[in-house]
This record gives sequence, C-alpha cells and structure tokens, in this order.
Amino acid sequence: MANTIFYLIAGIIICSAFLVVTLRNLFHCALFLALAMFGVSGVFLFLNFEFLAIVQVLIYVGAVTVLIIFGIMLTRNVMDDKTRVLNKQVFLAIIAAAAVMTISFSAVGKSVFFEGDHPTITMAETSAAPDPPKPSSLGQNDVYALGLELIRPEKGYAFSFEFVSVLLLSALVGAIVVARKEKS
Amino acid sequence: MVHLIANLLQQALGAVGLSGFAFIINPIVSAVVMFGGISVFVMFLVWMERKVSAHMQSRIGPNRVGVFGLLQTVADALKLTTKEDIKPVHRDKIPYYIAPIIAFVATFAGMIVIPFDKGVSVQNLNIGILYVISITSFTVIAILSAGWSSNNKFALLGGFRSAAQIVSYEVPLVMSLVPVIMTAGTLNLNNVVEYQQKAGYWFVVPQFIAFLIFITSATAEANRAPFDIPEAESELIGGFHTEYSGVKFAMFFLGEYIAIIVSSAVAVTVFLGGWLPLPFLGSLPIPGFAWFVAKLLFVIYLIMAFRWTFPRLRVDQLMDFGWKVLIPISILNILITGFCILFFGKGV
Repeated sequence: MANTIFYLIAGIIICSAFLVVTLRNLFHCALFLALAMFGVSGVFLFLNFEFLAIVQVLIYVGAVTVLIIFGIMLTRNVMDDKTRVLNKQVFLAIIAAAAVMTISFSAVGKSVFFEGDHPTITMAETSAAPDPPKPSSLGQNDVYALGLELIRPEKGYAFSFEFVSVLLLSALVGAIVVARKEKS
Repeated sequence: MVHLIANLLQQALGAVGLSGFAFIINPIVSAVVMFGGISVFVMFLVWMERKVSAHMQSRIGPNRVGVFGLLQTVADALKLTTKEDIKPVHRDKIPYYIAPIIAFVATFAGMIVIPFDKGVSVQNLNIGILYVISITSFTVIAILSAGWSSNNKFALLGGFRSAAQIVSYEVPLVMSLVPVIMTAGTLNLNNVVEYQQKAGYWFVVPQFIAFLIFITSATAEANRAPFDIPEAESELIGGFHTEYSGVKFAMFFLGEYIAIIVSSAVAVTVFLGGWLPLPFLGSLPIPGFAWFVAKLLFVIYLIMAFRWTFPRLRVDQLMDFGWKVLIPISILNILITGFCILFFGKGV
C-alpha cells in the first residue's frame, strides 16, 4: 500500500515535470510546474515531514509558480502554442542538468539517514475506530528541532541561515533598485 | 455522529469482505459531513449577507420565499444548477474546466483543521495555522487560470489584479499571526485555544492590532469589498469569473464564501478564544460549539459590514496600503511582542 502511494506520487511528479519542459503552451507548463511542486510536497508528507510539505506548498505553489504565471501572462505571444522548446543552448543545458544531477546524487548518497524511523502505514493503525484527534508528537518536534538547528551557534546551521538571509536581503534591495523609477 | 456513521460503514465493508478498504471510510465520511454542513451554512450566509446589506441600506431584503426569506438562497441555488452552461468558444479548455474546482477544493480543504469545539476537528495538525494559510493559497492559481483560460480581456485583468492582491496581502496575513504563535509557542490551533484558556485572556486583548491586520488582510484575500478590485462589477463586469455561468460560477461563489468562513474561523480560534465562553458567562450550560458559531457569525458580520461601510480602493491605493502600511505595522508588532516576551515573560 505504502509503496503504491509512493509510486503514484513519483509518477505524477515525473510526468508533470516532463510536460513542463515539453509542452508548447507556456501557461500549461506553469500549471504543470505547480502540479510537480505539489507532488514533491506529497513526498514530504509521505515521509511524515508535515512542516516541509506545508512550506513547500506555501512557497513553491503559492508564491513561486504564481510569480512565474504572472511573468508569462505579461510577456507577449504566449497565447499561441508556437513557443520553441529547444534552442542553441540545448547541449549546454544537458551538461548543466547532468552536473546538477550528479552532484545531488552524490550528496544524497553520502547522507546519513535515521534508521528505524521509516514511515509505516499499517492497516491496523488507520482502519481502527476513530479516536478523538490527538497531536502526533513528530510534527511538533520537527518544527522545534528545525528552529533550534537553524539558530544554534555551535554545530548548527546559524552561519548558513544568516548567509541565506543576507542573500535574500540583497535580492530584495536589487529588486527595488531595478523597479525604481529613474529620477530624470 | 460522524464516528457512528463511519463505524457502521466500516462494519458494512467488513461484511462484504472489503475490510481492506476500510481506511478510506473516515476521510470520506468526514468530507461528506463537512460538505453538507458547510453548504447549508453558506446558504445561510448568503441570506444573512442580503439581510445585512438590506438593513444597512434601509431596505427589507429577501422576504418572499419561506419565513423571513430564508429559503431564497435555496431557490437561487436550484436556479444556478439548472442554468445553461455558456462557454466561450476560444477558451483554453482544461484550465477553464479545472479552475472552479481548484477554487472550491482549496478553500474547502482549509476547513479540515478548524477546531469547532474542544478536540472536535477533522484533523488535528500540529502545524494547523501554516496548513490553512498554505492550502488556501491555491485559490490564486485557480483565479489566474480562470482569468487566462476565459480568453476575455476583463477576465484577464481581473486575474492580474487578483494575483497581485492575494500575493501582497498574504504577507501581512501571515505576519499578523506570528506574535500569537510566538506567545503561545505552538502552531496547533487546538493548543492556541488551550493556551488562551490557561492564560485567562483572549489574544484579541494584547494583540488587537494584529487582529485588525488579520481581518483586513483576510477580507482582501477573499476578494471582498472594499478590496474587490479583482471582480469589481462596475469596472470589470465580473473580473475573473466573467465567462463562467451555471454550476461553474456556483463553485467560485461557494469557494468565496468558504474562504470567508475559513478566515473568520481562524480569526475566532486564534484571537477570540475559539470554543471558550465569554468571560462572565462561563457558568452557563452552553456547549463550546455554540460559542464558536456565535463568534464566527460575529466576525463574518464584521466582514459583511465592511462591504457597505468603505468605498472600493484603487489598485495603486490597494498596493500602497498593503506594502507601506500593513506590513511595516505587522513587523513592528512582531518586534514589540518579541521584546515583551524577552523582558516580561509570557505572562503565564
């Protein structure tokens, strides 16, 4: 059962990701991008990581895809289905994609996963008579643990956290500079 | 009640030898019960909105069908479902068809985590507040798809305006909830109410500014007047749903009302103490559910009253108000709350 659900989600992600790069109507591509992102959040949910799943939806579906759709609608000639899918940079793109894939695969291969913490969807658990809802301890601790890891000065990710916030701040300032009207 | 039906159905499945599928019974029964309840409630709200607006304009409002015109909405709903479904010829077929469904499902899914009474919610998520915010953000995709696929300039303009508005007002909406989350130390809606019970005050007292920001942004998120520029009837005909009729329009309509219910329910839970009784009436034998609904109706009445109190904002005023007024105030509010927690403790 658990495997079936996983393969279903994975299938949706792969199919929609493929359609994102092959469809010729850019608006449809963006919609399938949203579906692919939603599928990824399904994988997070499947791994019992509620927080990441929700944040994935909030940021990638609710904000990033919407901005992409907004950009597509504001550019001309996208209503027709004549967008070229390939251009001269196709080989460079293949090399870049392969490089990214290699790096992420080797990174995932080196990660240490917690053992005995696999998601188990057992029939007995889910088909039992419904109890009054009680908070599962996992999700709450996830958020706390994540927050602690992010700000803990020693052995934590405080530096990366601050680095990313400086990066975002500079992006914000850059966006304002680009969008600002010239005074002349 | 829900559990009773679910148990019966599970036994029935077991009797025909399909007990392996019993695990899908609970979600389905919950969804059907929720859908029925919400639909009736929305019909009541439409009637209430017409009565409230009539009252504010010194009119009588619907009074022909049923007692006090209560069945007017039922008649309207029947009319909508039997209407001819008029579709533009050059529409973008699949997005046009899917948009109303997303608009409805996204808001309806937000109802799952709302605690109607102590321990009564379909799913008690630990990150309930975040869940509501993120799942309802799907509506903007529905509105953009609707505006785009209708192939109509008014619909497209409405879609644009809506995307800009919803993305902008989501920021103060989330930020207005942050002080409460900081004080209560939880993202679980049930625990937020329990914290208010223990603390002995509702968050609307210390966080009144946050409450105002939340209500304002929620009104904007639901595309309600005075923030209804995405559908502004007098300038855009109907905005993103110009080309929708019949059942598809009904789904957008339902989605909009459910969005109001969800936002108000979050406001009641987070700021007004959820199922807790009024401070001086705690000894009365009134169930928590009744208190919840009473507060819900009060907040919804506020949002309905806004519509007839304020004129519609212009697009640039809307953006200015969101980015230059609401967001700085909510950031300041977070900062001050942080200092208070640091120096005075949480007060409990």
